[in-house]
Amino acid sequence: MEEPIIEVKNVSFCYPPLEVLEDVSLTVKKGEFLAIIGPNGGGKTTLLKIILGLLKPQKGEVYIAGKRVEELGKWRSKIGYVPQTAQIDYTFPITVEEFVMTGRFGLIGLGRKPQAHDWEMVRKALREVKMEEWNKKQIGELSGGQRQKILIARSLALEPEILILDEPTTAVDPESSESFYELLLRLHEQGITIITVSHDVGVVAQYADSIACLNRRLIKHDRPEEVIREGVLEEMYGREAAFFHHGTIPHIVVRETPPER
Amino acid sequence: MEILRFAFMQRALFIGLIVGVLGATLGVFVVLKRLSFMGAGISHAAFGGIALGYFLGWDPILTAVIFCISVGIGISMLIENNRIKEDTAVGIFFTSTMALGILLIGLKEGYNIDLLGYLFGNILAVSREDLVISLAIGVIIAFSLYFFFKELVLSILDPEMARVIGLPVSFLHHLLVALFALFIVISVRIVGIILVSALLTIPAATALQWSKNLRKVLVLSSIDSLGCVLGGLALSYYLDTSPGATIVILATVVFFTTFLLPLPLKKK
Ligand SMILES: Nc1ncnc2c1ncn2[C@@H]1O[C@H](COP(=O)(O)OP(=O)(O)OP(=O)(O)O)[C@@H](O)[C@H]1O
Ligand SMILES: [Mg+2]
Repeated sequence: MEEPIIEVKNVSFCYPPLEVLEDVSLTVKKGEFLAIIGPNGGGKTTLLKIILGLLKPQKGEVYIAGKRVEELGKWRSKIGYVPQTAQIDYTFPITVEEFVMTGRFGLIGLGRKPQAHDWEMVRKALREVKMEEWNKKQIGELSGGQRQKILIARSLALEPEILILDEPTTAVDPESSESFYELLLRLHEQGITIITVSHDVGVVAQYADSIACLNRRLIKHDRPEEVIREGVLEEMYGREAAFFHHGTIPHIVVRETPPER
Repeated sequence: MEILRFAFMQRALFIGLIVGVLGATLGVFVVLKRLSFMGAGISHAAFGGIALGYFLGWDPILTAVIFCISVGIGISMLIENNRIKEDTAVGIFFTSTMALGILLIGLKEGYNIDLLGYLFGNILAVSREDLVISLAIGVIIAFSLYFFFKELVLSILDPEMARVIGLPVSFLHHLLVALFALFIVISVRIVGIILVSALLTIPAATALQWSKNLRKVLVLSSIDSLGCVLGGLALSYYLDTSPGATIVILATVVFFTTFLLPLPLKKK
């Protein structure tokens, strides 16, 4: 749990003229479970895409396992990613299990076919999200929440060393959501590095080692409890942020605040 | 079979075999990637390429292949970052390359009749050399599709994830365009450049209605395409019609018959 596995160094990113990220630095240690929270438009998805090398920042660098993200090469196949909005063609003639298998394509390599072990990992991943009975369905025949589950399964199927999750439990029912976080906890115990974006601060605070608040600038808290306690949220979301508590889980409702220029 | 007595017909049928299977397979990727219109544009651009070849005194077909690949890259460059919509870019290249072709032919003294053969196909002109070239190109296309099968599937299904796991997404896109251009070479004698894109669209579109399983789609598309190419060639011989047009009309009839069939018959 010592060495840094992801290093974001002084990253700035703008969609001209909008500055989305301003001088963001972040270090994630191997095996750490980090949650990123922040208001809509705060730049969370943008930051994840920069970490994955899908977007190139105007300033700053990202290193994964000591290598610049542009030069990751084969290491890429160890990163599982669940996007917030997947750009998937759901009419594509492919079954659920074949879809989940696509997560392993980087591991399998050019010109090779999936082997028995690959299929075993796919079945295991589908079991984890309780979708194993849907394995032969065409992906377009699934409901919204089920689609989300197979995206999660795909990210698990590649036996990731790093999991990057962008609001993975939106559209997923509360029971499945809870069992998903339990699963993340087990993966965390196995030493997998996890970064997840979530709006459910209360839930995330129970599981994560650390929480980063992102609204153009990033502040990382290594003790999740302090985020909920010390008025950090009000500061980030604005004074209009209102809290609702039912049971033990605090929910946050955020009103739109215009971005600062 | 009286039709097989003629050497040119034997050669045409042999090329038809390659064209049928490869067009169907390549076509499934083209249709799934929504490149049908782009494909039509690129194959029409081959006219400009052939004219350019004639004009410069180079091999017309070879010039056309390089020309088509360049047009494919040109279209990709225009649509990068959504600056120009794909159909607009295709529309611009589609017409401008044909205009270039017309211009160059006008500049060259003496109208060359062979041009019609390139536009509409000419199975009488299938030479022994064409046979060898077709076989070689067929092997290249088949091998590329086989070797990059998984990667092509993912880059079409979910290009973002393809990039995350490190697949060369734009290379795969250009590869598909290059294979498309190569396919024009082997099918030009049979159907001509005007109708080439039909072979890459219609059988695949027909097969996609029958099945939601990619492997079955590939098989069905090949059977359909093979039937239409070989059947169309034979029909055209007996009816004394244009082979290319007969093949395309036959494929279209199968497509609409499938389309009009009630759904339960088609599912699975
Ligand atoms: N393709 C784009 N072009 C221009 N601006 C963009 C684009 N994508 C995002 N933005 C802007 O960048 C900002 C950050 O977007 P981002 O998606 O990173 O926010 P987020 O924190 O993930 O929000 P949410 O909680 O809604 O998912 C937003 O203000 C958004 O308007
Ligand atoms: Mg987001």
